[in-house]
Formats: sequence, C-alpha cells, structure tokens
Amino acid sequence: MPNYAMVIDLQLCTGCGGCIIGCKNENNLPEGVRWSNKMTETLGRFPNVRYHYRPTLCNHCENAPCVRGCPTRALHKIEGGITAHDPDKCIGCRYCMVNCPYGVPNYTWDRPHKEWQDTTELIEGATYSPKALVDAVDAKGWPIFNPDPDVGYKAIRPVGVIEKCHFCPHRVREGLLPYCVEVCPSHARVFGDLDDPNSKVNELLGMFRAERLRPELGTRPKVFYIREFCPCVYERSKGAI
Amino acid sequence: MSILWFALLGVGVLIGLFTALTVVVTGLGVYNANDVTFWVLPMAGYLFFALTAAGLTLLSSLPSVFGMKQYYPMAKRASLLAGATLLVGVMCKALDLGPITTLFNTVHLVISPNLSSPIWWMAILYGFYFTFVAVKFYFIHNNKWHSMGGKTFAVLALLLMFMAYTALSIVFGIADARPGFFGHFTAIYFAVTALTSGMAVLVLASHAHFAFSGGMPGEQVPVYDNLSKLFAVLIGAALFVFILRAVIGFTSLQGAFDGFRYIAATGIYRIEMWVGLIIPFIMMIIPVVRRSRLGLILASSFVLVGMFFGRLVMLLGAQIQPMGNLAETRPAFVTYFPSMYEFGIILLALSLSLLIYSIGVKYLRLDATPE
Repeated sequence: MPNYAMVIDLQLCTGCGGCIIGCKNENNLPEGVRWSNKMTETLGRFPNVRYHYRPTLCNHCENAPCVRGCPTRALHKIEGGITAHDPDKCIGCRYCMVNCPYGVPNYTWDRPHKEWQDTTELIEGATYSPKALVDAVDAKGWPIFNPDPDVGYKAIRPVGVIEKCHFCPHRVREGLLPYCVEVCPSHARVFGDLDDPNSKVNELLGMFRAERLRPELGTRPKVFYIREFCPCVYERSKGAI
Repeated sequence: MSILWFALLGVGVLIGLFTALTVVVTGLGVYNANDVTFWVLPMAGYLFFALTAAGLTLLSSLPSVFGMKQYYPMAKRASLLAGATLLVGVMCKALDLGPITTLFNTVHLVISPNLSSPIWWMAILYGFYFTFVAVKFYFIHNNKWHSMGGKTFAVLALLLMFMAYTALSIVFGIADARPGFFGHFTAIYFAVTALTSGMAVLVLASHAHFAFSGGMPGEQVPVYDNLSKLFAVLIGAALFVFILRAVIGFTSLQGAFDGFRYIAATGIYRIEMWVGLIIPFIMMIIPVVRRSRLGLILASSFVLVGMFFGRLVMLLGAQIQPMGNLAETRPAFVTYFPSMYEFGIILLALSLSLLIYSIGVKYLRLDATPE
C-alpha cells in the first residue's frame, strides 16, 4: 500500500494561488472555504522588507490528532495514509478544529453555494440570475459543478459538517495527481509515495533539507517544504554595534 | 405571583423554542461563529450547565452516599436541580452541533464509535449520567432513599458524574494544538468551579424558594447555615484556581496564551473575576451578610453570572487568536459578540431549567427527607 506525501518546493512556488483556485473548482468548495490555502509573513523594516509565501493544505499527518479525536470515525485513514472525511458520519462537534494545529478543517456554517440560489437578475431581462445560470447549464449547486468527487465522497458537502482536503482520492485512484498538483503552473507541488525509494518525493527529500509544520507536536505531517525563493546576495560582515 | 412567574418562564421557553427550531432547520449559520471562533455561547452554556450539574450531583450525594445525614433536607432539591441543569446542558450541546441532518448522524456514536476520542466518551457517559440522575430522583421522590435501587442509583449517578466530568476535562486536556485551554489544569479548574456553581444554584434556589414561601422551616436553619459557610469556602477555592490560572496564563512565554491575555483585558474576564469571585467572596466572609437571605441570594446570583462568563472566557481565550492558515487576512485577535439566536439558546436553557425547578417546588415536595 502506498504512503502518499507531498513536497512543496518554495523556490519554484510563485505564490500565484492557482492551487487554491484549482482546488475550489475541483472539489466544488463553497464561498469562504479553502482546502488549499496559504500562509504569508512579512519580515524586516522598510526598505529592507521580505515577504514569505507558503502554500498550505491538510498535512495528512501520520499521527493525525483530528482522527484520534473524531467521536464517530468520520475522520479516518484510507488507502495511502490519506486522512479522509465521511460527512454522513460527521456530527458537527468541531473537535477536529480544536485538535488540528494547522487550522485545516472548515465547518459548513451555511447551505453551500446558497448565493447561487439567488433569483435576482443583475440587469433585468438582460442577464441571468445566479439560479437561472445554474439551471441553464444543468449543474448542481453552482455553474461549474464537478461531479467527480462523488466517487467515494460527496461532490458538495451538506450544511452542518466539516470538510477538508483529502488529496483528491477520486483522482489518485484513477492514477491521476491531486488537482492542486496538476494545476500548479511551476511544478512546485510534487506528489508521490514515501514508501517507494525511487519516487520523486523521496528524490527531493534525499536532496534537500525538508521542513514540516509544527513538528514539535508529534503529528508527523506528510507535507514537506524544501528550498526557498531567494535571489538575494549580501555583503559578508559580522554586523556592528 | 405564581401564575406570573410561570407565564414569564413560558414566554422564555417559547422564544427559546423558536430559536432552537431555527437552528435545527437552518444550521449554525445563525450563530456569530466562524472557523476561528467555532465554540461560542451555546458551548459556554453547555459547560456552565453540565458542570453545575456535576456540582449538584455531588452535593445531593452528601447524605445518601457519604453519610452526612444532616444534609438530607437539601438532597432532593439538589437532585432535581442536577437533573434540570444536566438536561439543559446537554440540550445546549445538541444545539451546537448542526441542523437536523447533522443531529441524525449522532447515531454513529453507537454504530461507529471511536474509543480513542474523549468526545465519544463524553457523549456516551453523559447519556448514562443523565439516565442515572433521573432514576435516582425517581427513587428519592417515591421515598425509597434507602431501598436497594435508591442506594444503587445514588452511587451510580455519582460515579457517572465523575466519569463524565473526567471525559469533559480530557476533551480540553489533550488539545495539544491549543494550550490556551490550559491542558490538564482545566480538570482542576472545572472541579472547583463546578462544585462552586452547583452550590451557588442550590443556595439561590433554596433561599429564593424560602423567600417566597414564608420562610425556612426552623429545623433546616442549621443545615443551610452550614451550606452558607461551605459556599464561602468554595468561592475562596474558586478564587484560588482562578488566580492560579491567571499566573499560568500571564507568565507563560508561549504565544498560544496571547489569546488568554487578550481576553483578560476585556469585560467578560473582569465580570468573572469581580462579579463571580471577589465581590461574592467578600460578601460571604462577612457574617451578617452570610446570614442574611438577601445577601445569600445576591452572592449566589453573582457567582452564577461570573461562572457563566468564566466558561466563555475559557473557550474564547483559546480561540480568538487565529491559528495556521486561518490567520491569513485576519487580525491578530478576532472579535466576537453573540447573535440573538445564541442568546435565545441560553434563554431556552435558563427558562427550561427554572420551569422544571418551579414545577418541582410546586408539586414534588423538594424538602422531603427519608422517614
């Protein structure tokens, strides 16, 4: 059985947010919900300022605290070590949100894509209303509905449960890469099997010092970060008082 | 007065039921909660009522389980109050889960249990705990205090209280990702404050009843005098764990306690400290106030208000600082004010528990003792 992991090369990542948008489209994410996300940090004082960008997603931890704490096994491990979620078992207790140190699970507070049920036309008689557009393209929920995640999951999760990144198992089972990896224009995201010594992820982990988020908590995340985009050079010195 | 009181409670229950129905139909979108502050006022209500029930269960067990026979006159009252507060506490938690579709999923607590989850243990143990408290009251009400069933369920209710309470403490204790919940120190904090709020409810309910029913029976005066002194000691103990928590929160170098430090500068923390602890403690160590009915009613009311705010302080302290990628596009600390639906849930819980108690006072002879 594979042991899936992701390596994110921060030198290649341009911070374009394509992974975020791609994930939203692939998994029909409602307004305000992001499975693929980012963390940014600004350091230094003007004019010596630097902006750090780090794409994030579920870390699919080996010791996943969300899985340990979920009372009904709605959060569980599936093939490949993927941390999956079953909305039919989720009781909405949000204990996973307490336990996840990365802020990954999202609770669906409102009916998903409810803004697409609006029947107001922007220009009366000239434009579609959101609902008319959804009906016109014969979609479910929103106009760009993707039915693919329905295989083994729910294409759109109902109100009152949590949802999170699941490494696109509907694609992985078909031999395809997770969609955030697929759409990354700079090949910054690399997906593969940690147990395969010849996999690309192992090649990169063997080549560069990798970093994981909050390793001190013992969650053993399976998203690794390597390198950093930094074209800077500086004049060597020991500083001064 | 009686009709007016019941009418008032009826209005509270009706407004609360409308709120609960809205939540069950539409989901938690009507709360001012989000992915950063996700456990808010209804959860605080759950903690407040469930922990108060734990304190009341222990107090009601003093004569029947621990042999302190002088406390029999308050045992039945405490037992009913434990059942009422536990019922509304569990209701608050249920109304903090989601719409009806989510509530149906709770069947998976039975068919897909996760024994490593403290939330699972909490849910199951609270289910048994409530059942045992209800059966215990049934035996007491039928004057079978010392029957095999009466004794068995008195012990079982106490045992399940300890177990359910432990599970609840572990829910917060093992949350490594959020040290702002104060880890396993929360178990000590919960134990002391649960007993204090349980005692406050008992003191308030008893003395309010005596105030409206023409006074306390003479033979019960020493019992309630003792309880008043015990109440003073408990407020002192609660003040001690409050200070201990403040020391931990203020001296820790961990950034995870910034949320607590932020909350400590707000009004809700001051209400917990002044209204819930310092003022009632000062009141209760003054003998003349401790012996006056008005003093006891005011001090116990203050404690309960403070304890309720304390539950919210505890929840928000660990949440208002956005974590991980949730910090993106958000300020260092988020703001929160409850929606009217959240207030509605608390109104429902309060009205319903008062209604149950009032019915008990009117029809169930709550000062009955074993013959």
